[in-house]
Amino acid sequence: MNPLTVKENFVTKDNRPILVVEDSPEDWLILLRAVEKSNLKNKVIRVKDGDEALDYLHHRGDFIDASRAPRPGIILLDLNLPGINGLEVLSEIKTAPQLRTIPVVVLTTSRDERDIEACYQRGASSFISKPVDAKEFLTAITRLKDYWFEIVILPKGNK
Amino acid sequence: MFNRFLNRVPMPKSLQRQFMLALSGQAVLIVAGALIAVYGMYFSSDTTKRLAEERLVHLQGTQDLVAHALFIERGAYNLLTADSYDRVRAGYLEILKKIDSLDAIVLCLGHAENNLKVLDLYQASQLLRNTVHIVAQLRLNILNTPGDFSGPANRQETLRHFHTGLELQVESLTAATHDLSVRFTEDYQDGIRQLTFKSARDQRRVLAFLAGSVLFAWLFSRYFLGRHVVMRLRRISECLKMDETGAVPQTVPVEGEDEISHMARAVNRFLDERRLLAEAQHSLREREETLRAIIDAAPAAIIDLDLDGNIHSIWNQAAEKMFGWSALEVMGRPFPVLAEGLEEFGNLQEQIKKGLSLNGHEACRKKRDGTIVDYSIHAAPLYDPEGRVSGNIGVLVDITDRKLLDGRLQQKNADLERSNAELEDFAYIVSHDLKEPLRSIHSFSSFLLEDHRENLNSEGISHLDIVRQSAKRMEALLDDLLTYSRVGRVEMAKQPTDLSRVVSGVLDDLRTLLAEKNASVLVAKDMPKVICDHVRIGEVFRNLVENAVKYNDHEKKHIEVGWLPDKKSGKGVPVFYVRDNGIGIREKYLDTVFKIFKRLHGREEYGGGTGSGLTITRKIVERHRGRIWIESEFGRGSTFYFTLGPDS
Repeated sequence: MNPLTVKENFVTKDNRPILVVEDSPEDWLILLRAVEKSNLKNKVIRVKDGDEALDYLHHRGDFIDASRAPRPGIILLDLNLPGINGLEVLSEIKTAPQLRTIPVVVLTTSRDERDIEACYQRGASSFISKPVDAKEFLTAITRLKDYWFEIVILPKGNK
Repeated sequence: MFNRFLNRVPMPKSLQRQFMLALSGQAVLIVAGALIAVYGMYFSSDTTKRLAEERLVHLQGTQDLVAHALFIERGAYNLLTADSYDRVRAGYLEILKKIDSLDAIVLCLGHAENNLKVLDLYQASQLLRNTVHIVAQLRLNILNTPGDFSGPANRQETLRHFHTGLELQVESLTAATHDLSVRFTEDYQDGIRQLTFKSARDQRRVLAFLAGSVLFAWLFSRYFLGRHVVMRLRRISECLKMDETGAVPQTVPVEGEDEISHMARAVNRFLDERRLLAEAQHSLREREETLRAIIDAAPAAIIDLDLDGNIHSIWNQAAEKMFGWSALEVMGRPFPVLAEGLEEFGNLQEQIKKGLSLNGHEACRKKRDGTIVDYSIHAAPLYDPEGRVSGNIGVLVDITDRKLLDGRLQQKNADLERSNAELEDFAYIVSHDLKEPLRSIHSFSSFLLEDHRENLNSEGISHLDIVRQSAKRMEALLDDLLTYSRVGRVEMAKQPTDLSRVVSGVLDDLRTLLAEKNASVLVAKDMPKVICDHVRIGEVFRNLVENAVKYNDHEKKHIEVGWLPDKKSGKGVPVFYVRDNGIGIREKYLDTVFKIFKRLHGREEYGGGTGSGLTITRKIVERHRGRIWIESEFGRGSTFYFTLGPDS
């Protein structure tokens, strides 16, 4: 079974994929709908937990074939994950020399100050609290796309 | 009386000198007596000698007189009987010579004894001389006429007459000399008698003087030695003896300034000191007893150790109870012996010598019955009078129960911490796990409305709207719950804060709201500077001002932000207030408004809200150790007062 759900991109300047670490299928659907509505053309790749995310990034386990796991332009990371939690994933990414340049945007339900502090301490690029309201959620994703894929110049990295 | 006299007489102060003075007096008296006696004796012997010599001369004179008289008598007889001229003449001359000699003696005696007897004798001798002369002349005349042997008769007659006269005169002379002799003999005897009398008188005088001396000596010994010296010494010794029996406190009377009074003073000082010493010893014993009682009654074990670490003399009842060993059993034994296998006092002796001082050191010991007793020990070094460490005293408090309680308390604390952690987890779970489904509910009902609106009737659409609103409301409730739990949990970031800036910042944020609602806010110009978490206190002001605007029906909403010096406590803790002309709160709800999610009005009235604003406000104030309360007149307006803690 293919763990990946792929969305092809056409227009966006930087066409590197977005890696979404999200365990909740509902939230994944909401995110996907928002991505569609926001006209984000980049490929959005979902992994369901932290271990899978690290496997993807390190090309291990199911992702041993590097061509099936392209390096993402940015990572959208949920904190509340089964198994290894989002903060640990963040730490691991930011301590791995070949991964640390990938911007990690924390997209989570939490608004806890400790979480916010901890994420920025570990090198998160942004902290976004998922709005309950669907419209607000769409607004957030649209702005995120505008910012990261149209305004910001992402590091090259090694593809 | 004599003493008083003695005291009045300017006596030498020193007893030695007094004594010497008295002895000198005595010696003077004795010498004077002896001189008087010697002089008397010398005088009487001299007088006797003189008298005897004088009288002897007189006696000799009278004897000579008698001898002369007898010679003259015999001469006169010879004269009368002489038969030749020459012999008569020779006899006559002899008699004259004798008479001259007699006169000389009489004259001599006359000087001594100028009296009638001598005069008589003198006259008699003169008469005799004349008569002898006449007789001699007659005899010569008769002898000159030879033949006429018989002579004229008248001549013979005359001769006989004078012859008789001569005899008579010689007799009278003899008688006179005899008288004088008797007289001088009597005189002599009289003189001897007088002398005897005088010598007897001298004897009496000497005796009287000796008696006087003896009396003086007696008085001296009685008053000076007896009363002045011995009696005072005896009084001192009695005082000492009486004081020893300890009856009534004694004081030796001090008289004068001599050695005995010095001694008396010294004895008094000695007695005083001894008394003080006795009192001190008494109070020392009392204190010792008190101390003993305190030590025995003390709930803590009190023990003392000597330099070798052995129990020295104190092991009180609490110690017996604490360790199960009686004082008799542990006395002189090392303290750690009681603790088998417990080594925290391994070098106890060294530590004691260094002046071990402990303050609440906690240790444990095995009791006699084998159980363990936990105790806290306070120890202090004991010093001898020279300031050297002589041992150590320890006060041990049984803390076995406390340890047990400590354990329980730690358990409770751990429980509490776990419970708090759980609460935090709960808040976290609330924020994550409850909000995620909420987001799904909201999102998917939105998607339903977006994608399938045409398939729904107006009721369905309305219901979906209600679902979405409920989800939103629940999100708000969850957020407030989260905020409330965080305010209670997170440390306030206190720092010096200018409340004027805080309030103006809040009003800036609320500018739009205030303008919309036609509300004017009057802020006191002199808002003080306090120490607080400015963000949280800003939330307080924001919340109160928002409420003042929200719960207000007036066309023109007047809000006043200010502060008062604290009149009640007088501690200078300012009281801040936010006053409005709003709808007011009924008195029975003054407490209710602070309860979480508690609203006094319908959900849609007065701008809605979750009903947690005041709960969070109160929590913030309480986290600043302050207090919040309301004064309100229903329908006229409310004033919210709050204070910040004394450390603000």
